[in-house]
Amino acid sequence: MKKILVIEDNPMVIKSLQFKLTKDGYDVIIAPDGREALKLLKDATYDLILTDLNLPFVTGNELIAYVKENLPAIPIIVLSTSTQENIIMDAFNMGVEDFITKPFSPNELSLRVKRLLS
Amino acid sequence: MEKKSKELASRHAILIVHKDYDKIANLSLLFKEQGFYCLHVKSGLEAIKKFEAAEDVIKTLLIQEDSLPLNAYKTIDYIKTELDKSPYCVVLQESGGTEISGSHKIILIDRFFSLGEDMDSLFHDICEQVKNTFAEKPTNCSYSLGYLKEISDNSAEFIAESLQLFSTSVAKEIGDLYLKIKTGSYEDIRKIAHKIKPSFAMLENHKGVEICDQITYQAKDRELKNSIDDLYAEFNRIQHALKTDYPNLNL
Repeated sequence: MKKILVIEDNPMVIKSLQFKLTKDGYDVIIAPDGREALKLLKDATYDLILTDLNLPFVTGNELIAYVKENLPAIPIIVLSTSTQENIIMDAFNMGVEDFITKPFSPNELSLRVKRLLS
Repeated sequence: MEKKSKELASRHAILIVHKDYDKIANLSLLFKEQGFYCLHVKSGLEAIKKFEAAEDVIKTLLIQEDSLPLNAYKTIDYIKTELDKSPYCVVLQESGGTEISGSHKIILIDRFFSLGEDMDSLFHDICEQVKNTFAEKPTNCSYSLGYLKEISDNSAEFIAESLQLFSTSVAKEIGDLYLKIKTGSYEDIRKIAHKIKPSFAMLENHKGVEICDQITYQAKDRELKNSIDDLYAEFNRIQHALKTDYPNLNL
């Protein structure tokens, strides 16, 4: 079973991601902030990361930089409520594979996750 | 009951499901005396057939909790999710019956009534329901479950838990916003507003989303307090509507 690390601090978004991704057949691990995510990344391997950008303790951008440097094989999808072009472009420039706005469309999420994991 | 209410009651049929008519005879009589059109069937399956026959005039369902072969919860679940009907649902319990506590069951049920209990409160609730059924629907609903239904394939359990999460998490964050105003932590305020924006979006409350954006991107420091007041007012409006629509969720 493919393992997905979700890094998100809004409980309703966490619940919906967990529900949808579990239903799609993935093993979903939740980190409510960047610091917890770094710990989890050091302890286990993941097939995909979904991360918010505005995270407590360690920001999304810091986390992306860490993953791209130390675990470059893990694809990253950024989750954000922001539609500001500069924020999206910054994330892509750091090497993230995809971007989804919150709240996400369930079908869109399934397709984008499937594409990166296939 | 006043004349106007009696007129409405005559358009509001009540279906009572109980294997033993004697036990619900008084209830049935009370409603009939007040002008309601009262039907009686013995099982959940018969009730489903009544609803399948597109009898949209049935606005209230009173059903014995341990009805056989389908109990009250399965019957109500089928009527609401499969037949897409939305009657006011009352589960009739034997006196001293145990209340089912699973939120996925409770969300489908409007109230419980213990047979033998004073019928006045049930009667009052159903009369209120009659008024609501025929009242004009407000055009500016404060929330919608459309997104939660879409994402969960209409899972009642998921929706109930999400509404509870909305209620507790947004209340806490708004409390934090007021604390941050006191300490002048304006950047933290913008981060919190950004964080809770999806919660309003998931309930399709566009005003809440707009205010969160205003706090995050537009409001000057001195304007933040007013915007937080607006957000709090909008949250209360949603909460009030949710509490009215789902009294059993303990929001």
